[in-house]
Amino acid sequence: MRKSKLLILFLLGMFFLAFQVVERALFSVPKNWPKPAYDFKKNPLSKEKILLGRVLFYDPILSQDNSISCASCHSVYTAFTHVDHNLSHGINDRIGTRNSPALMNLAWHKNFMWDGAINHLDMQALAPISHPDEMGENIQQVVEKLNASTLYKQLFFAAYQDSLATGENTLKAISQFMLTLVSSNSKYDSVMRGTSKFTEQEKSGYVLFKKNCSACHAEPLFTNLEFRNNGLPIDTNLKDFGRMRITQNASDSLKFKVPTLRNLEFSYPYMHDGRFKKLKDVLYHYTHLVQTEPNLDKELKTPIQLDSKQQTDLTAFLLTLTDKSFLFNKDFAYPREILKSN
Amino acid sequence: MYWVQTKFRVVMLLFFALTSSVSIAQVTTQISIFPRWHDQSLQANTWLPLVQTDSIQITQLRFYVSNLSLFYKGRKVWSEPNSFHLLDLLEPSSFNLSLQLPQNIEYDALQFNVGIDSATSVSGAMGGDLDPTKGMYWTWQSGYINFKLEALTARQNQELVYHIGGYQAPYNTLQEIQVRFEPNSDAKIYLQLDKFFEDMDCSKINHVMSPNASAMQLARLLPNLFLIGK
Ligand code: HEC
Ligand code: HEC
Repeated sequence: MRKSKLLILFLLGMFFLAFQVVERALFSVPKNWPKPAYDFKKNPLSKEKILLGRVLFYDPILSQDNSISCASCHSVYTAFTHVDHNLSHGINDRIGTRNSPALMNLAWHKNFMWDGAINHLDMQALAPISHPDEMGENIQQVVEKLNASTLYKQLFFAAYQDSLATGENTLKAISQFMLTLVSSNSKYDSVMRGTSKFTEQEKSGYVLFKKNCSACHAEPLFTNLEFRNNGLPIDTNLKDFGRMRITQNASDSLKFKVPTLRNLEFSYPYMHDGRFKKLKDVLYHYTHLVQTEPNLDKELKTPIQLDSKQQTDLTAFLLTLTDKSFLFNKDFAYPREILKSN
Repeated sequence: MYWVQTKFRVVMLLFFALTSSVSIAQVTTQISIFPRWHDQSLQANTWLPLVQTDSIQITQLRFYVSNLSLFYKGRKVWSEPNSFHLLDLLEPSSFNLSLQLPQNIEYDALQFNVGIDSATSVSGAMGGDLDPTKGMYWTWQSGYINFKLEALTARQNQELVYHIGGYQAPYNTLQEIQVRFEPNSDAKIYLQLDKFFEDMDCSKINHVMSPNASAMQLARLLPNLFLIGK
């Protein structure tokens, strides 16, 4: 009796272990990183679901006139942001009011969008799909289009053992793909793991970074994921007050979600409205242009001072956040073998 | 190896036998909500008298009923697992709620929420009546629309759009409703929609489409609409 119980336990153990190995390969928490915010138990990853999500991410079928995909605004070669435009372009060349943020390490985020309008990664895709300036479609119709497609019948069946697309399954698959977009192999990361060394210049830049920037752009994600006011003057055309739109609380005026600085070499233009093209402009903002409005973050009340050598050093450090293995990861690329056109 | 499997099977069989014997003791009970306009049953897309001088047509009435539970003498005796129901005036059968109750249960009050609680609102994509394809999920900002009412008025020729939702303070619009009835009588619950327009001036508040103070004001009217019918 005792023996058989042990055996059952052992078999169960093997079973779970086997599962964990699969999970680890699809998503893993880098050493010394915090626990992800995303609840994987509600949406367990599988290779087939991730693939379905990736195809959906790249397929313009999600837009009303079949012209725009998620990747149109979030391109992999630019850390999943929209490069040449400061304000993202959608269908009929309509211009949205915000710059698309770089997509990475989203499993750790609790709120999405510059103002945190979206409370869960699964629900994120609904916003661009329904936005008249972005994809101009609605999820009911998207699901109908998917159910009319032989390709998607196969992909949904492979993922869910059910060829019927639903809103839930569609959104969860897109989440799965986005969850795999983990960037944790920059030079900075290998220095932290002890397999590489900073140059003198980078080392000095890292010290300056910790002194002036890391209160908000906290390691290892390079964002504390909070809403802060970093002293940008308001654009009087766009009149974007950020977080206040969501909470309707005046103390949230001009607060925006702190963006990650990982891969910032490729994620220009910068800020919620893409007002800065170059890193140099960003540093000029922090050293000279910070607006002292009442809501300005306390971390920036005393102006940041950086002479030109310090600026060069800080820039050198920021460039160690580039992660080539992320930017050129085949698993994130256009699924050519499945989406034939283009 | 084989005997381990058989043993395991026996255990599983026992387990299923136990759980299914529990479900045998359950009975399906219908609790229905009757949408009403004054003393008539409410019809969509027909003119109805509004206050003294105007008439109104209800074009959409959809709302969530969730977290159903039954009480007896002030004590909770049953609550529905995974309890989310989307009621839609254009689909009358959605107003009949089939509850799986234990046999011989006694109850004298029904409690439910109109809307979706905040924990569920932040739990990501869900299926069934909560699937975002049901048209009850906001897209530009996360959250369910708890109560959706759209209508037209004749004289002022005005479109009324009330999408009442919001799950976060200070605009948490979820409403808890409790109706009491004679013990185990055939309960008829009325949704008296005319009362919604009694305590609110629809020429002043005519579009509510996000969580805000007006949504809160309208949400507070909802508990008064649910009454025990005669
Ligand atoms: C027309 C351009 C456009 C398209 C198409 C688009 N996005 Fe975006 N995306 C944006 C913009 C702009 C923002 C920031 C909007 C804001 O903050 O209000 C954004 C924000 C996001 C965010 C939040 C990131 C963060 O850090 O908070 C995610 C995730 C995202 N998009 C995923 C998607 C997915 C998935 C799709 C396809 C279903 C998609 N996007 C389609 C432009 C676009
Ligand atoms: C008080 C918090 C805070 C501090 C301190 C801070 N930042 Fe920021 N940073 C923000 C916020 C908030 C934004 C987004 C603002 C917006 O778009 O409106 C931002 C945006 C940026 C961006 C644009 C990133 C992108 O993808 O658009 C860069 C680059 C940046 N900061 C670099 C720095 C550097 C370098 C320092 C230190 C010298 C620094 N920040 C200090 C809060 C801060």
